[in-house]
Amino acid sequence: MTDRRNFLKLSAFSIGSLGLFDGLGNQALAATSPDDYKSLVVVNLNGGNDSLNMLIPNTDTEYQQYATARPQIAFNKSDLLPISPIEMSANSFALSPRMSAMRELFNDGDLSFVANVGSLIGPITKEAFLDPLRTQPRPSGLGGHNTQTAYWQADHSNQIDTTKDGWGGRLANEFISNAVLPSNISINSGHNILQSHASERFYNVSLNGLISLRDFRNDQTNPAIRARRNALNSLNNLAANSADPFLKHAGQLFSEGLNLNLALQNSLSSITQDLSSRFSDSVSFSGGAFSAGLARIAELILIRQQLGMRRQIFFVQLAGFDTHSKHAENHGNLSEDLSNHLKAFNDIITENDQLRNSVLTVTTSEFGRNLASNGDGTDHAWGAQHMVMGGPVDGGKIFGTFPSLELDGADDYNGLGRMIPTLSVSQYGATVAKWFGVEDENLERVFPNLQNYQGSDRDIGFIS
Amino acid sequence: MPKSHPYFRRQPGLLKLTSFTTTLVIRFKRYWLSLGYASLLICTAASAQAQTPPSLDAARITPIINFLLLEESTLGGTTEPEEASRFLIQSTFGPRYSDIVQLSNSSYERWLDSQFSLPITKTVDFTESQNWVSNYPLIISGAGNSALANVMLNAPDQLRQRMAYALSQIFVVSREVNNGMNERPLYYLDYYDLLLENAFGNYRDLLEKVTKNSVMGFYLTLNLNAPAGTQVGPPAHPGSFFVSSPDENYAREVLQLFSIGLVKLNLDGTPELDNGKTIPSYTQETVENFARVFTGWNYQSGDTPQTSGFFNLGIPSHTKPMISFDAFHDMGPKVLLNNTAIDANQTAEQDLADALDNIFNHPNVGPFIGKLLIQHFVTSNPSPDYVARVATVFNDNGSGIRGDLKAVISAILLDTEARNGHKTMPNQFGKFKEPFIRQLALWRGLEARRRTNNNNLFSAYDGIFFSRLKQFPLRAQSVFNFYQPDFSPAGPLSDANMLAPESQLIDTESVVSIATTHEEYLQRHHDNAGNSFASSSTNLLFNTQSFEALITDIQQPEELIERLNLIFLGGSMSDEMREILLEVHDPSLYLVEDKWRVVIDLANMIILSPQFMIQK
Repeated sequence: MTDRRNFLKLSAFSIGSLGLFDGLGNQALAATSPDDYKSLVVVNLNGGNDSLNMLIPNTDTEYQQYATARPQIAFNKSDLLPISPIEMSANSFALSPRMSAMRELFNDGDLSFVANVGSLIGPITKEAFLDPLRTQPRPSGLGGHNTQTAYWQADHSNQIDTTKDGWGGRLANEFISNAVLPSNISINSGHNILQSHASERFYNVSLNGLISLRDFRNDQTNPAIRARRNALNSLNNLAANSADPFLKHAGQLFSEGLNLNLALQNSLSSITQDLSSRFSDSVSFSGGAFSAGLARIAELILIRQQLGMRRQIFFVQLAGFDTHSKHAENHGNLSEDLSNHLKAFNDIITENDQLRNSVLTVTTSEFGRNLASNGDGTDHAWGAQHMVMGGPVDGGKIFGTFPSLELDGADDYNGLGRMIPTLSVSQYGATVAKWFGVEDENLERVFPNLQNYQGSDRDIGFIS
Repeated sequence: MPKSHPYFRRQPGLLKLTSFTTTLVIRFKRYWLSLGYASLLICTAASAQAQTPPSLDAARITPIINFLLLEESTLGGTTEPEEASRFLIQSTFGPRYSDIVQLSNSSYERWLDSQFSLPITKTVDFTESQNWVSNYPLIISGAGNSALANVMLNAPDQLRQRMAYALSQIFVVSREVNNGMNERPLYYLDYYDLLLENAFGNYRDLLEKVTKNSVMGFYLTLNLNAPAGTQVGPPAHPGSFFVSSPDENYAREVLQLFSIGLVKLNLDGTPELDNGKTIPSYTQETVENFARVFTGWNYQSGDTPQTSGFFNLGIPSHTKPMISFDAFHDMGPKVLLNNTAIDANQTAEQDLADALDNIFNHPNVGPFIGKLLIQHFVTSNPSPDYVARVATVFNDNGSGIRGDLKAVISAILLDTEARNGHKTMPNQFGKFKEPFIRQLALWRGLEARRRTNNNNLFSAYDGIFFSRLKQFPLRAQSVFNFYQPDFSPAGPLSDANMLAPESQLIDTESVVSIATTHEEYLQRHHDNAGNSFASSSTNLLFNTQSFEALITDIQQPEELIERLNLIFLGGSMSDEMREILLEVHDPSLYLVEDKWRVVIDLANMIILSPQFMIQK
């Protein structure tokens, strides 16, 4: 693996000189032409999304299975928004009544669903999964928020995780960037596993705006300010050269943070459009952070050339999906927020001809929820349906195989509707990575578990 | 600058030594004392390893210490001030100078004793004393924040406050939920007070009180949990529902996060291995059984006596524990941890008691909770022996009692690794300070107080405080807390296979944002001697007068630097760092009457430094 760029190698004294970021690349990879821009937006539905209340089978038998298993939570059939996926019968599926914006996108060919995706090492049948000898490998810690988040974002290939890499970090590492900003941008989410990497950095974009120390605001010529700035840089340097790893990390991180902060003060000032108003028509139940995050992503994408970006990976979250209780109200509200805000984002991107086919949005979530309700909520399960959106998507389709909704049926492993996934995170992610520009022979560097899939199984096909 | 420059000379800060001989005597006594102390610790450690933990009953230790202290007390300190400061950085929200003086004249054991015996400073009491409450209990959100910060800042029972704060990050409830409850801070303060009340009690009691707590019941949806096949509430009534299977939320998190964790542990906190693989400590089936245990509970009605049923509560009370309704309890037999069965037809209360006993007696609890607390107070990467010593005390406090948190916190703070790790394992020992603790340490160290004539700690300006600092008590993003105990950031720490949980809050953006929060408080909120304020944007003021008194000559801030070093860095400032501070101090910038500004500016540099982010 080629690690081309390491911000930490820049000394504390390179502040503000963007020139230092140039010329560090050493290998020409895919991102060469100035028009070659691709951006991946990963929308994490934090808490474990109950996708079974977003995409619902609309055929009589299957709808009945759904309605019987979750009486208080199931939508009335007459309230559903029917869709007719390409190559399937008319009105065979439906969307949540709260997701009319997504139906519009689906019908316009800008959205598809991918069925029954989950954390997997490799394909596993129900029989193999239930085998008491557990000879077939499977993820550990099923049902745990943190363990399953780790599988979704890192695609671990072994049970005891020793790597802190995420596939977003590894994906960025396949490309050269000479840009001011790291390729991975975390929107108000700070550290996350997806964007972690030993040498590939991420930058957190706070919704509070860029906040700077008083002595590190633009170019200061006042000698006292320069002296204080130098002193802090010296303290960082002192720490960064310490033998103590804690101190070393603190010094390196602070230096790097101050450098980026200074550089971004100029770059971010080129954001001229405030796009938040484009989201204001949507009713917001989630406190506004999600739509503000999507607006900020769109703003950053629009100034990609000033920032020198060729490949970007944005990580943004909508939280609150751990709906053990008060599901109808909470999950319904979240569905509506998700639907409206994703549509608003997609509208901004697709009305720009240069960007239309350059931005792909995909959902992730640590697990799906069980079909059977606990009364007014649902609990942690495994496989779930996901959404892929944007110009690059082969829209209006459902990819993969929608699970049987029979309790204790072909896909349910314990009678309460916890579905064994039939597509893995590695297949889902590799389809994205291939679009991003990673050659097939390099895909396993990004998604190690793809080694357990061959031929056409390595591409789900949702890119047109 | 030559080594003979005065600032290279050690500034004891506490003792005005008059002769070389006195110094020698004190040095000798200290050496002798520390030997005595070390041998005590060695005894403790050795007997812990022999599986017969000694009682940490201070009554046994104090007389010895008192004897050792006899003459020393008149000389102004038996504990090195630097060590006293370091101890207080570990065990409080940051030392004030007077705290350091006091501890250096006492001993760790006596300090612990006095902390254990102090009355509990409760957040609800504070709130009620403030006359904030116009529409009790729906007090405004900011008042809840103010109460927490104010109590943490000023409470004399600092160790209890730190313990409750650590427990609030293990038994997590959070106001970061997006429905009405977050606007009722008094309920959360009441939960916080529960943690304060039980901070030095028994873990088993704490576990039960947390489990039955109404705010926890709300947060992890244990309330209204009912057996499979139950209709809860009249059909078609708003909010009523039919249960296909019980809610697993609390069942899962109480096992994973509050007690035993995902995999079986050895006494020393390392995972038990079977052919090189970890062994799950429970399965999905276990979770489903515990979910059935935790059926039949809901809030108490606000009415007295209870008039309503399981579903129809009237107005629920969130400051009283939940109560059980056996008609909505799963009466079947259950299989708990280690295949322990509990019989059918037990009441909800009996099942809950049996299940919590079952959890409490699992061998994982000592190492799991013990290691988490060590990480919160002392060091992110404790040696397995340290974890084993603390777990041994958890398992038996020396009087045959399991789960004695007072004994556990004493064992953690008095352990030889806590006291000497910075010398014996300097590159492995220590931790990142949490941003919130850094902020509190800044306030306490510079004698922050509330402005008079104003009854609220925080003001409108402080509204942005939490979002910039990235942390505020009871505001974690989820039950998984602000950070994970096994987080290791890319770079030098993960290269060295070291954990740094708190550093999960610190990235290239937040490192600047947090520092800016510290700086803005410092630069805006000082009391510049004449009681005229630079800004009216806050109600919090620093008192720099005692620091100003250390500047006899504005050209020579050495004594001031040593005082700040003692308070904020536990005296660990390197010569190189001292040199940088002296170099940046430009006396020509200050008028003679501007001593307060010298204090603020030098404190500012230390508070921003990466050195201040680390606790040793």
